[in-house]
Amino acid sequence: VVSAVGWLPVLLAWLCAVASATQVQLRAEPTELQTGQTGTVRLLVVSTDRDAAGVASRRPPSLPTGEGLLANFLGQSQQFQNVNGRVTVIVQFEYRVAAVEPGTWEVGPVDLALADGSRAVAEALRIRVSERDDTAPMAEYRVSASFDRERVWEGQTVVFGTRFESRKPGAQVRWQLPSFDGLRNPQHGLPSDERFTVDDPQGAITVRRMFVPLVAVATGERDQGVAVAEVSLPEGGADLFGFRRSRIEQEVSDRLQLHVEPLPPPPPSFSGLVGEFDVTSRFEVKGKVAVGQSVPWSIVVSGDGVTEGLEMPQFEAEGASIYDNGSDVSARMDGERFRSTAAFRRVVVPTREGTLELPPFEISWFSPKAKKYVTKKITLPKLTVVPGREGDGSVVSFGGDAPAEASDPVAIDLRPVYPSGRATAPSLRPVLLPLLGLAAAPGGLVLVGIGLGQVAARRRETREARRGPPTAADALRRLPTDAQGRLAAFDLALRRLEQPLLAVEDPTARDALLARHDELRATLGRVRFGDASVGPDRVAALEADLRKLVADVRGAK
Amino acid sequence: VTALGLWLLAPIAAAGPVADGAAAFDEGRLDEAIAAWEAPADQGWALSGVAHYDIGIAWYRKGDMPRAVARFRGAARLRPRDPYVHHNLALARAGLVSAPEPVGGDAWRRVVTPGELGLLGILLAGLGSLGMVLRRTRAASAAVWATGIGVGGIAVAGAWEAALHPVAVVVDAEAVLRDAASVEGGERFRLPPGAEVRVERSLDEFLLVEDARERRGWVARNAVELAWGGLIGR
Repeated sequence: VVSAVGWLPVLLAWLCAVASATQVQLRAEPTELQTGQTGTVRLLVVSTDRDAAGVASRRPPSLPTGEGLLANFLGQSQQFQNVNGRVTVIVQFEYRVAAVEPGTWEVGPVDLALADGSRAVAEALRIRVSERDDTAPMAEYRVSASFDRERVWEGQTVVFGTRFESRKPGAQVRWQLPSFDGLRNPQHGLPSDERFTVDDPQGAITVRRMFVPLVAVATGERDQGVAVAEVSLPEGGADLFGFRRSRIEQEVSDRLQLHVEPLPPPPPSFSGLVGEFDVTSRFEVKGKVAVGQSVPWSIVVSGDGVTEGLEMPQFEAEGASIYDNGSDVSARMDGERFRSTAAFRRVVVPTREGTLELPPFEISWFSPKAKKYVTKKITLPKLTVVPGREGDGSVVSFGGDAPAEASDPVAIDLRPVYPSGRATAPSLRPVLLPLLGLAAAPGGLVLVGIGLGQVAARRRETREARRGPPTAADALRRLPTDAQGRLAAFDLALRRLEQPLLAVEDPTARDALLARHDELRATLGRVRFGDASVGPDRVAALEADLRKLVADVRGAK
Repeated sequence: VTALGLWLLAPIAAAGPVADGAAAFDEGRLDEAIAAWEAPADQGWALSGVAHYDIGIAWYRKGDMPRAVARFRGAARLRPRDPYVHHNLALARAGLVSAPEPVGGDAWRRVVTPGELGLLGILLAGLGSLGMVLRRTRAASAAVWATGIGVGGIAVAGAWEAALHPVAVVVDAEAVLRDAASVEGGERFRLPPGAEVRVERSLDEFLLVEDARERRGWVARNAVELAWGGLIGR
């Protein structure tokens, strides 16, 4: 039903970014139906752990729905995807969901027992069912384009969406997007392009939706112009060349306006984020840790605004060293919503035993919903640090009579200097390309020669195939200079003339021409094999007779 | 071939500075050692991996970790298979107070230099050419020739990439990255000493740089140390 699963790579990248082993998600296409229509709901189990990807039960998971919806299991599929060298298993359960009664109905949640014994819950989603309107039949197609909101704050993410739907099979749309004045594309999060079909009693409806995430970077009233849809509707059969005929129509959206409010003066702890965000902090180890043990610590900031450029404050704590272990920023279009995540990984290494208390930290962002800056204080758990495993304290040196460096406590592990060697290095960069060209040229020339030869041979074959079998006229076109050679060519021409002669339709003319042909052949035989000497006049006379016969045969045909 | 050989061997004549620098280094005269190792660069020569490596150690001993990192990165470009270089680079990075994730490079450059790869490409292309000219197993020769061209092309591209976009390391103090190549340009973000960035281009006394998180900004040329000059110049 759905044409493509183009959102899968985006979902996988997202899952990799949030570094979760198994994710379960419900997706509906579409999220709005009319009574009597049928859409699709998918339950996706995406996992990097092959054992966890399967579900415990052999029966498909039941999909709870509100009273106004009717769900039927359609099928199950499984696929493997390689994302950055990591194999991800995707198990997909597909359900057809029919709209029965108007209202907003929940689908899910689905509590799933996975094959490895763990459980995962797919959050519920909502499908809005409206009353069927048969009084106004649907036009051939419908297009619409708009921003998801008209008033935004500086730095806030706004989503531009287009929608095209048609009952006509094969209908296509091409959008010319507005100028997006004062807006920019986020560094992460590509526009989404969804195509799906809704089953309707009056015929299937093909829907194509596109969502473009943008960030407001300039304030004030921003006139975005219009979006233009070029709709191609198939009409009639194929044309002379086999192409399907179609009618092109253009639709123009209303003028698109956007008002961008400047942000109020920020507090010192402002992170630069604008949107609604959630911040989580997690230590991979709970309870007791040993001195020197690495404790992975992750801070994840996710929300509907862009997180690119976000930085975490530097942490310093007594009794521990804290190291940066990289970060990931990712974003995606989740249906009509933009979702972004920044995950920061750190490693905490306790340096002394006792209780390790990491200081809390704060992160502030501007919340468009609250119309003010909000600050979240993250309190970190206390860790009990126990003594690490001790060594016997002896130092074994394998360096032999090492130079003075070994006595330097700072540089104890630094590898020594090279006492000799070249101080300068010639760069091959300027000569690489000429030398490569020089080495490659003979082979290249041979290859070009082979290629040209093949082209010439192919052209010759084509020419000969076009010309057909050799004719008598061909034999007379280039005659040798010596008399015997000319006579042999005449003989060849006479033999080639036999076939066209027999093809002459008029019997009287054919008989006359055959008689002349036989006489000429007999004369030629006498001249070639009977007479002692062959004079040039004789040969010239024969040639003249032969040429006349060839011309007459051509005329008779 | 003779000219190429002489050209390749000529720098051996300049081996003295390494020994001179090493002698000064052993006696604890670090500034003199650095000056001796850098002397060929002042005369317009490109420093070898050995010289970069030794200078890196001297900066490390002086406690200037950002400059040590810059020099070890320069050495790693020319001596990618030298474990000492990578060891010392890791130590110098560990000695930084805090530094963001360093900019990376092509994976193949951790194994070979563009020059080595280029010579391999030239050799393969030459062998393929010879095979084709002598009409011996023409298909195999064509495959060798094409491989040589491909390898050589990668090497040339890698050499130009390194020359056009050298790595720079923030030294001395926190560097301000600006919107424009001017001290009046708006501040975008700051990078701590030791931060390794990739140079995109230069304009007057400013460099347009990009960090590992793909953030860009103009930074004053004297705020960073280039791991190697490339086409940007020292």
